[in-house]
Amino acid sequence: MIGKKERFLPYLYIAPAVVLMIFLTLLPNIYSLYIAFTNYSLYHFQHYDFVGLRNFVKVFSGSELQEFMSVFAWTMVWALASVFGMVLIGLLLAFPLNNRYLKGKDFYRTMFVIPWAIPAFITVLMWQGILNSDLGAVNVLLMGLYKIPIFHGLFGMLDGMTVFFYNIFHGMHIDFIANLLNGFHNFLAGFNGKIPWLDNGNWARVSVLIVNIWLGFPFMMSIIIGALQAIPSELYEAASVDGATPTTQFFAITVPLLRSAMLPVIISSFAFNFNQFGSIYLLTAGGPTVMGRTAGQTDILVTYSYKLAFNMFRFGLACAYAVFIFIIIASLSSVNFKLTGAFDD
Amino acid sequence: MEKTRLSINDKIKLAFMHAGLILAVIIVLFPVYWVIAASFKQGGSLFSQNLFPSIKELTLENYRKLFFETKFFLWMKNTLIICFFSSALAMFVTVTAGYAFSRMKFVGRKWGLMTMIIMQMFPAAMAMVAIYKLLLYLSNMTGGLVGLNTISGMVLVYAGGGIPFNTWIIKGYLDGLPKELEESAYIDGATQTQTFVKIILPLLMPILAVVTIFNFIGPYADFLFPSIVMTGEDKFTLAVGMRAFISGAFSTNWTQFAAASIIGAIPILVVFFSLQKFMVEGLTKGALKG
Repeated sequence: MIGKKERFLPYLYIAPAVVLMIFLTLLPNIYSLYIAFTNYSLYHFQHYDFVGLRNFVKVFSGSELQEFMSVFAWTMVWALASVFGMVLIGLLLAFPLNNRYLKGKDFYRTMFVIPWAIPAFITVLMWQGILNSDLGAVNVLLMGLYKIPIFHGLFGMLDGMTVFFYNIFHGMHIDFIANLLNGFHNFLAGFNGKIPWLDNGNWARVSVLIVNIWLGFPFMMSIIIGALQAIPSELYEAASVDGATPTTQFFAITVPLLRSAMLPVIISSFAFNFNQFGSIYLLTAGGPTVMGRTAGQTDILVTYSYKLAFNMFRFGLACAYAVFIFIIIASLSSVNFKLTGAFDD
Repeated sequence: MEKTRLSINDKIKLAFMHAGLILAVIIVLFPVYWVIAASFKQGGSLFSQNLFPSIKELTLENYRKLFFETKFFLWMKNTLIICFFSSALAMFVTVTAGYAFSRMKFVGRKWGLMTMIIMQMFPAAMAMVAIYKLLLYLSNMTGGLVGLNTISGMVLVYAGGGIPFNTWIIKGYLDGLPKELEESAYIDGATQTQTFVKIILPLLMPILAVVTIFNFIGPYADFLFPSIVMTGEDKFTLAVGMRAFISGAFSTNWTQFAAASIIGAIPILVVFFSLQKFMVEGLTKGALKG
């Protein structure tokens, strides 16, 4: 027989967590959802009204649509490119570090994990100084290299080739590529070793990606090494007995097993980067800005929503964006739960 | 390890691997080296930093200035207090919840676990406006005791946010422990609460340490919430303070910023490397669960 006291005991045990969670996670999120349907903003700070779907209509129409489209497109590129870069570098480092004859593995691993171990806000701010156009370390190094005749010559050759291909594509009226090459030629012609890392829109996008991949590859590398070590060596031994070459083994054993182990990690890493606020906000604050536009050229949905809320005090619109972010993240998470069986308790 | 004679080919391959890895280490750690070097550099500016400064040029001046002429320690203190109390609070409320979800049968158990998974899906960006409003409301109600620009407000935000993840981790760990120990305690006539305190808690110590550390590191490195909540310069956390310190002031504050980076990174580096094994495992599990 279970006494009355025992029946209540579980609820007593979970009560503190549940109460805190209701007030600090559940209610705020529901409240944000509600704000997305109001005109809460600087002009309606004390008294704001329910306005139905107006904020959502605004996102998908008029001048805001243009902001939304460009920010959303860049968010997708950003998250995909980040994950791709992290996995690529993770793989490139994990394979040698999984070689059993390689000495000093622990040393290398420790060194590569350092970018992960330093608090990210510190490293991102650090990079802001390192990528400074005039005085940053990278440009100082590049300008030094540029003065060396060989590199100078190489740049000249590269420029010559660009012009050559530009003429070909221009002659063939393939304007898209011709324009791209023309831009590259202009860049090379004006190049003196200085790259406008954070001041030019496209370079700023490259910069935030470099920094984000630098921050994130150690995690991927660690996971990949773990996944490689989890593959039972008997599989390889059995394959060699059957006469499979190392190449066959790689494609028949390593690749499929690694892929199934990595898929959930890749999906959650995509979701994580989709929402990676710090790497962008602390490096470029979403900038550089474009005339007549609210979103900067490196703004992703999260940083844009943050700026709408706390720089422009358009809380209603910011929450509409947040709801959109939530829908995407929630769909990705549910795919992942299916994959990993997290719901099967 | 078995001794295998390596062929010349393999040796060359290994040499190339070492060369590639060493080059990669240099590229990856160059920014870190650059900042360490800057922290010992004379003068404040980003300008004219040598790649290899000579010993004679090095100075501890930046550290001295950081300690005595900036609010660095105040910000560090704020951050550490927030991290300590939020991780302690989160720990206190989740250890019993994790135990209940793992060992007790009750109506709503499955539903509760599901809710926690769903709660984890909410991105911080979703709640930020509402949390700002909630804290604004709390400040007005308590006369500024709890709410915006208070350490207690910040502690509440983090403690609440960490609950689902912590509960799941603790529950998962307990699920993996055999039940025999508790059963023999019940046979000896112990109540459920006595069993929890005397038997379960000591067993949970390793995972509690790990979860506490996670909850410590998270708020330490967060910028989003303190930038919304902590608006007064004396209430800044390290992340907000250091950004304000360096924003637009690279030419004057760079070397002191570098010193701040080194000191600010040390506590986390120490924790990270002493718990690296758990970090990788824990975060992998965390990543898998979203």
